[in-house]
Amino acid sequence: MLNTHLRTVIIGFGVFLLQYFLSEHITIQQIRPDFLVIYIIYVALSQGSFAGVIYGFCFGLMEDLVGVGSLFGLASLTKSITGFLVGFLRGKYPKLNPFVFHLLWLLIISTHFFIYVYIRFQTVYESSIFIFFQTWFLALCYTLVFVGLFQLIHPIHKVYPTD
Amino acid sequence: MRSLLGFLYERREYVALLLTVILSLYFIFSNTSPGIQILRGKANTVFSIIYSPVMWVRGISEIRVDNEILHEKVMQLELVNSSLLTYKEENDLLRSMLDYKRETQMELVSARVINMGISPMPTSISIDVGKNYGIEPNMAVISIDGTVGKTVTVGNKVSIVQIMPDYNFRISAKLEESGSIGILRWKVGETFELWEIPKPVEVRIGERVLTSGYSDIFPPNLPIGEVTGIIDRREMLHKIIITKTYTDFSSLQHVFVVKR
Repeated sequence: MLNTHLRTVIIGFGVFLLQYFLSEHITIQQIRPDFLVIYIIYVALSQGSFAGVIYGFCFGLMEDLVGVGSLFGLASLTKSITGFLVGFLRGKYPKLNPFVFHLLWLLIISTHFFIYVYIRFQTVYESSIFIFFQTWFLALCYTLVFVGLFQLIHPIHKVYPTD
Repeated sequence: MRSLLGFLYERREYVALLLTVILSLYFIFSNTSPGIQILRGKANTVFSIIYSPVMWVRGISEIRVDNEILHEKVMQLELVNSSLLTYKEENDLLRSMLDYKRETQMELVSARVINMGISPMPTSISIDVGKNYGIEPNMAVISIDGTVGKTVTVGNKVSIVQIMPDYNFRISAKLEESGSIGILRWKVGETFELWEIPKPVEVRIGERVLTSGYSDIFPPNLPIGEVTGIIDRREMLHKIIITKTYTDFSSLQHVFVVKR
């Protein structure tokens, strides 16, 4: 149990550093992929909602601490919610229709980016709903590209629950 | 009591979610509190140390390119300088004739961008100067191309700069030719909008947009960008001027902090 948490923290810190070092170099049109949310999805699928909330909050807070112009606390909020929701899918792949399973985690990650973009771009939402949804969609798609690439290494449906 | 604790333990994921959401909302609503600012300043100092080897390697790889650019700039500046010397003599003569007071020159502190944040949308940068160079919050930050943003959190050796593409950022700006003043804010991507420009004002595509000087932070006449479009609808009380900034926020490397 302790080993699982220690491993989660160490890998999480590695993912955090990866995002810290790489995000600047892979920015496209002011949008960056969110590696930490991908990691939180994997953690929640393997360890459940409680771990998802706690790790989502902690890594989100770390992300917030390292230089966000405004809205300190936003990443911790969205990642906690994502960890909580994805946790309910833990061990559900054999019981659910695969299409439904994948649709559910896609909906959750879409919600994550919707909350994030909605709070960060309130003025855009007010002035141009098209640009708002365009920003949300691009941010979501860019992260999903990396989720897709990661499926080649460790598919989401093969994340088994840990005790 | 035991049954209550048992109940809470059984539903610990809901309790954890509730607590983390409350804490996150508390942080969001207390963004400007001094405690959080100090915490963020210290965290950035620590992470800038972790990032320093990458900066060192990157710096070496950039030296050759920088050198070529600087050679080119030196040549251009030599040419500009010769013509400026002529203008200076003429200007000095006119000033002495009109007895104008000499304008105060800006005191600039050069800084290197050490990090551009990790959030999905860049809204801030970290620079390698802080209190040790006399930097304070709410100081203007500029690049050689134009305005960049303002300092928001200042640590001992590192400062966080809120850059113009942050949706909360506003700057008082004016059109160079008409002198008409408005509020510039980020729209999306590299597009900014200058609001509150009266309808009768003639605006030309390509016209420069400068800082107005009606600000405690930004000195007047700093270049911001140029007009790329005009929105003027019948139902609107004012025009909206679409502006593209001179500063490329995706490749900032060196900036200057304007000390008061």
